[in-house]
Amino acid sequence: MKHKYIEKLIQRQLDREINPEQERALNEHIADCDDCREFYQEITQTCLGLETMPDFYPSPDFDHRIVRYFGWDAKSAIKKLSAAAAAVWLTTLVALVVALSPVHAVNSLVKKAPAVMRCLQSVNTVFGALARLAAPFFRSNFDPAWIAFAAVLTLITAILLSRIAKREITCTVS
Amino acid sequence: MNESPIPLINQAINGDERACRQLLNLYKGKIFSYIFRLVQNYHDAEDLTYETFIKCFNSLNTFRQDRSFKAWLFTIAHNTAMDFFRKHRQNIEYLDDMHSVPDAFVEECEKTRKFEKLEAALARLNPQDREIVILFHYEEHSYDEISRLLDMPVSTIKTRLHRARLKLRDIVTNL
Repeated sequence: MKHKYIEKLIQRQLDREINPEQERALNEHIADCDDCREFYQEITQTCLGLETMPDFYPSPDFDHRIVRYFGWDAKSAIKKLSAAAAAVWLTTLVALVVALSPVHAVNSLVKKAPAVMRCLQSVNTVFGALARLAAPFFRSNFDPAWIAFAAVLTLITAILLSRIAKREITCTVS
Repeated sequence: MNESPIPLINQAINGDERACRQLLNLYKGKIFSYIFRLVQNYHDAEDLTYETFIKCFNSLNTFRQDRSFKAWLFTIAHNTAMDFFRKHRQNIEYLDDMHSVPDAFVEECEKTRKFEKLEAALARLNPQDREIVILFHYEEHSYDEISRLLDMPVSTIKTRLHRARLKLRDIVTNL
């Protein structure tokens, strides 16, 4: 009878519902009773083991299945492509505006509003550097060489950005 | 895991995919382990975990934030596993002998003899008792949470848990 009661107390302790008085009675009994002590140690070790069991994980492909189901990869790629397309469009627009502007207007802009030029440079560092290199072209109005330069510049930007986008897509998918 | 996932959940509801991925990384181990220990098959467990997260993300906006997200997610996982058992015409109450041998995956993954013994002992329990043991001892849910999750009175859960502990102790000491 006593042992049955002790077993109940052990279960209560494992249930995290034992009170201090019951815990004291339990400790006193298991200090004296070999059978109950052995039972107590076995069952508490088993439960402790359950609490410390390691997690299992699904296969590495699992995340990709979820990503593919919700189309997160496509959305992410579209976002990056949109940014690349916007950058190409902006570069083209700026290049064409500069190329088709009268030479005196461009000279005036460079001299009187360097802040505007700095702003343009900050939009695209590469474009800014190339724009400074292309300054001699500003002197001639509608110079075919400058238009060709703008086209080449746009093409290079487009290629660079599409490569970046492609790499991003590959990374997302893989 | 101890931090509240509520900010992440709000971001995920607003369509933030990074938040969804973070939630997935936070809980996939717990959910997969829980389901794997229930169904005792790696591929089924993976499919059911996949289904659980699909349901979770699709119904994230119905989650009541005054409740525990973990408990909500476990409810989805539990219902998904029960649907699986029903589809396969298996009555969870009477599956005692279904999986007496643990999957080879367990042996491969478990590093110590102690855990091998425990996994083998768990696999020998009735699935419903096994689920209660896992929820109480491994996931550390309270009796009230388990009662809500399994839709079962607390007294029944206690009786089953006490019986399961004794059986586990017998199996582990005799293995």
